[in-house]
Amino acid sequence: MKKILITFMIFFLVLPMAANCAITLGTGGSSTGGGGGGGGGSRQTSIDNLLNVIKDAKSHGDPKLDELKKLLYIEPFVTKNYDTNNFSMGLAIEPDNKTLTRNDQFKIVATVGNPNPIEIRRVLYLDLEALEPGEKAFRKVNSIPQMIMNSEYDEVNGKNLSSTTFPELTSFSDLKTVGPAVLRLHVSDGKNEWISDNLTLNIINRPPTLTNLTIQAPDRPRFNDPITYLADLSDPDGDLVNITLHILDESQKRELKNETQEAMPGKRVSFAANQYGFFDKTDSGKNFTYYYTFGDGIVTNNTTILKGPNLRRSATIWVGTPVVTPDDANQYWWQNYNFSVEMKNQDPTEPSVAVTVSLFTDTPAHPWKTASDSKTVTLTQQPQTVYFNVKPFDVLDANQTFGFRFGYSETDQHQRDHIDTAWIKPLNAKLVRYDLVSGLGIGNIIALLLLALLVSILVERRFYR
Amino acid sequence: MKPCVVGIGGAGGNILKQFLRNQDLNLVIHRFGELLAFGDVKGIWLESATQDTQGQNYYGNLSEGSYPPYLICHAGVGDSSATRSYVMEKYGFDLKAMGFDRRAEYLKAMFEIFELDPELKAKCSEEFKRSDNPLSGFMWNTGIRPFTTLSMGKSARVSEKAGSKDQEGTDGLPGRIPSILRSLNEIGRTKGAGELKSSRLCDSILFLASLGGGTGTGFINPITSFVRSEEVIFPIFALGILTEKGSDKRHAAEGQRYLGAVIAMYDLLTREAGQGIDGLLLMDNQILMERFEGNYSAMDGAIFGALKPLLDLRNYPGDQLQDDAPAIRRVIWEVEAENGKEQKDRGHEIRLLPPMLVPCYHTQPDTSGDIDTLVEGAFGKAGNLFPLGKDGRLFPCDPTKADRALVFTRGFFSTEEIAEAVSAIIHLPENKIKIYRKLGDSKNEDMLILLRNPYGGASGEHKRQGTLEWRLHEIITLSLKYIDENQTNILGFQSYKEITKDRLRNYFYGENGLIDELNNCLDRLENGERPIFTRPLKIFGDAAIEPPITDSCLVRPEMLAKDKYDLREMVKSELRQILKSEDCRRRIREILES
Amino acid sequence: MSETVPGLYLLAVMMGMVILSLIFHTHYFVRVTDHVKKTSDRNFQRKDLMAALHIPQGSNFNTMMLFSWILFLVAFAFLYFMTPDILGTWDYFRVPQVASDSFGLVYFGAAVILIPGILVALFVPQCYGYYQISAQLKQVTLLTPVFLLASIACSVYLGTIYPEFNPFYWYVGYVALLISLALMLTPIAKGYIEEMRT
Repeated sequence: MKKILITFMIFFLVLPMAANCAITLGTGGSSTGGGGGGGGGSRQTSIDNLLNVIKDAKSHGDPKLDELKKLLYIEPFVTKNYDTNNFSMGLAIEPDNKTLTRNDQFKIVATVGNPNPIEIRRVLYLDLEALEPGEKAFRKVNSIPQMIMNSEYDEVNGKNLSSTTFPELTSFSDLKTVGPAVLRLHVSDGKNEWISDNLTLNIINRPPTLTNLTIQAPDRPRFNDPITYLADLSDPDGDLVNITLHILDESQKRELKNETQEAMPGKRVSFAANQYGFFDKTDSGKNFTYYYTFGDGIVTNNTTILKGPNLRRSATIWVGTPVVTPDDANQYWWQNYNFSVEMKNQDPTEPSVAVTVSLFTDTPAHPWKTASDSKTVTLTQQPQTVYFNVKPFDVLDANQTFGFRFGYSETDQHQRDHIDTAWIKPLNAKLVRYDLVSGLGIGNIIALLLLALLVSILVERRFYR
Repeated sequence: MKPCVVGIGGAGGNILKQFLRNQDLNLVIHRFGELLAFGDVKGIWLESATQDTQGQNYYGNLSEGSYPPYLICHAGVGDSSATRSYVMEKYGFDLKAMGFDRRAEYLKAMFEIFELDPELKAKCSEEFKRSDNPLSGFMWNTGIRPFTTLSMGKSARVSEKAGSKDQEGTDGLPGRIPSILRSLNEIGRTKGAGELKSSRLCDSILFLASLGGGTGTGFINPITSFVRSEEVIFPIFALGILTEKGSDKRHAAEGQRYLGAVIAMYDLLTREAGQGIDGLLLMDNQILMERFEGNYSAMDGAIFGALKPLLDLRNYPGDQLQDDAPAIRRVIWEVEAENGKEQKDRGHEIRLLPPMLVPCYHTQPDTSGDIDTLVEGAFGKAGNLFPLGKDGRLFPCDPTKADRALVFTRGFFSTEEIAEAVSAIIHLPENKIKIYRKLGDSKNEDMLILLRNPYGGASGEHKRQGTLEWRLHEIITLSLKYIDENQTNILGFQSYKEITKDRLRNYFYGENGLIDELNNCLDRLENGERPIFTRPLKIFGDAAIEPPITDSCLVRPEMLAKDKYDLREMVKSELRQILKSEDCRRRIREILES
Repeated sequence: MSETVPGLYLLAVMMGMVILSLIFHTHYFVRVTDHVKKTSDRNFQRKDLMAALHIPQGSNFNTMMLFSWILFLVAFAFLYFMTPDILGTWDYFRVPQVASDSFGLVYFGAAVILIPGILVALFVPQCYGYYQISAQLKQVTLLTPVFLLASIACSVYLGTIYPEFNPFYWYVGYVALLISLALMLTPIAKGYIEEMRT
């Protein structure tokens, strides 16, 4: 119908114009062309004339060309009826695994089949809708609809198919629950709407684990010693895990403190006591316990309660100036040396405190060598002299200067656990400890003589007889 | 030659000290090895007088394992020995007499009875377990034998058992062999022991004794008999030092001592080859006295020094065994080659008697003189035999009379020049001059020449001073005088039993007794015959049974055969001389009256 | 070299004596061999001549000579190795653990005795067996260990006062060592001189 109409329009509207134009244009021309010529031949010439006129008008910018354009708009028309029933559509997931964790990456591919030919097709608008676990209604995932243009179809097995993806949904990492998630496709061409079949995905979750729970700290740490709680975190899903350290008292009944961290699995989680201020001086001498709670947002677990740390009491002692007194003013290496230092307990809350004192000597040949076994002394408020009467040196130290150190198990008034002293006068250079006229001197000579005599006798008996 | 030097009696002990003088360093407090003597000789001192061993500290008691050792010859006889009692009761001899009263005949008699008395033999065998003579058996088995190579081998084990049984069954004997001897034995008997071990033992015996002493020579023959019972050819030599003139320190008269010397020489030189010694080296103490002016220590040193070339072990390269004792023994016994006609003419077998060997010794610095001066120093100038002591002759003799010369040199000489030099003086052909060269030291060179039997061949030599005949004639004459003038001293010994006195009387004064034989010896000396001592005499044996040796036993000098006529004339003139002497007349009278 | 003692020069003196004795000993054999060849009537090998020339000197003398030579090495080692700077860095006190030990001297001396000492003892004293050594000379050589003991005592004294040093004691030790060496070499020298006079 439309075609017929257009044909009539051209014939009755355009031709006169063309003739007019031809006349207009051709005024200059002759009318000998036949003025209203005959039948068909005159129609062809008219169309040619019309085209020439249009070209001229276009080249001159004739305003009437616009009018011509309006007249030339022809309403769309289809040669056949628009099929709305045989559309096909569907969703697929790549990779093809319908059991996923929240962090698994995927791609949703929508495929539409349009039964209509290209000339009568409409642009299709696609939306992805999802029903997440625990939700009651579908929500649209994409913000801007995906469009399939009329020409974006491929013929596959006699069908016109087109695919597109939805980059807005690549994982379910934002889910707070697990369970079935349903996806469907909503297609519209502006007048009609279609819904695809559901694509159901099973969202699962594997809980995290916390192992190798230890406390890294000095033996019998003080409250301010570096104490670090350590644990190894793992989550098969790779979920971000929330870990909380709970510090309890020795009875395991009262929680004193807790701190939380988030960590990715595969890492060693550490809580430094000093960093979080877990302990202070009031905690000296107390014993503590701890445990962890951890969860990946879906599952939360906790460890058993473990013991530690046991903080030791910290007393402050006073230490005087160390002194060394050799047995002999010559300071021979083989002699005894009396190392002494005054100490007392400064802690008013403790009438006495047991302190382990150690002695070290420092020479170029033996840097900071333990000079004696440690001794434990009980310090009171009264100063007492702690001494070591030892032979700390060997022959390699002869003619060398030396230093020495007292180490103790408590902090002194300078907040240190040792005190060093350098002795200015070097050890005597004499190596041999005995004199010629002495038991050892004469004994050595006699032993040599006897050995020489014995060898002589044996050689004489064996080789000289 | 490596002898076991056996010093007998006082003189033997003193001279032995020189032989055993320690060549090693003296550490006083300790000795790391064995005592090292010159020539690696071993030695032992045999003494009968215990008191003589007490006054010195050089020798120690063999039974205590000391070295150098001494051995009291009668230590094997207990004080309550049955044998001793028997001998004392029957013969009046005390087996344990100290010094045996310095009488040579005492010892001779005492040893003879062990050979000839069957009852005594039985008692001895029973008491001393197979040993026929407690004295000589003890001295041999305990004292001397362990030092010799005879202590090795099968015979050694048999004899050792015998010896040890002797020791076990005898009162007073030590029940063990002293350690040094045991160790020597063990060295000798080491399994697979080669020459190195066995060479430490001695290959001969050299007795040192004074001729004229008491203990001295009386033991030599009995001990030699023991050796000969095991080894007929084991070399045994004796060095006899003829006593000097005058009385000795013990106031033994000259005649008595010469008698002892003569008896000793007689016994030693009348034992045939294979029964007694192989040679008697003679030295005259009178020569040494004059040379060293009575310094006995120097004299002893000179005696030892004279024998050093013999004992020195440093032979020329390639001549290591030239002077081993058996070889020297063989040379010493060598006689002239004979043909069948001479044997037939003789009509009887020659019996060999030990030769007399006179040492002639001289030493000179290496830088002075040559071989000729050395030889001349040893022999003296030709024909110049007197006075004695001016040359190297240690016993009076005429070197030209010797029938063999054994020359031991220390120095760098060739054999030819030695032979030439020696032959030039003593006129022996070179095949009768046996030369043994030792390497010298760089300081001195010396020469020892042993002249064999340098006597005989001419009559009247006894009158020529400086000859061997002269010296022997002198001592035999003095001995005869002593016998003649001291019958009571000889026979009147208080312990002698009648049987002993009878036998002694017969031995000395009987027909064909010692007096007769000594007179015969004088005749031989005067006539230049050889040997001088021919017929063995026994005190307790039947002297008449013993056949006289009617012929010269060692050498038939060719001169006798040619000079029979001269000899006859000589005899006649001597008879005339004899008949003129008072002594001769007295003896004829006695014969006629008896 | 030590600034206080000319140790190396003095060492050269001792070495010179030893070398000279070696020359004497060798030439002695040459001369004796020459003598024997001129007078011998047969050929002989050197070892036969050596065997023939050999004179046993006795166990006492041999033992004392072995003892002396071993002690000589010990005394030499003590004198030169216990005095610093004589032989450069070759110094007993470079091993202070041994030097300061109560029996460090015994260890050092034992090492000298058992290694070079035995080697020297096996060969050097055998040379005495070819010389006529009189009893008097043998008795004189008995002084050798006395001088060696004096030298060792001086060296030990120097060792005990180390790092101090007293040249007097070093010289005394050296002289004692030199005298002992002279005593030990005297039999060879004497034998050679006597041989040269022939």
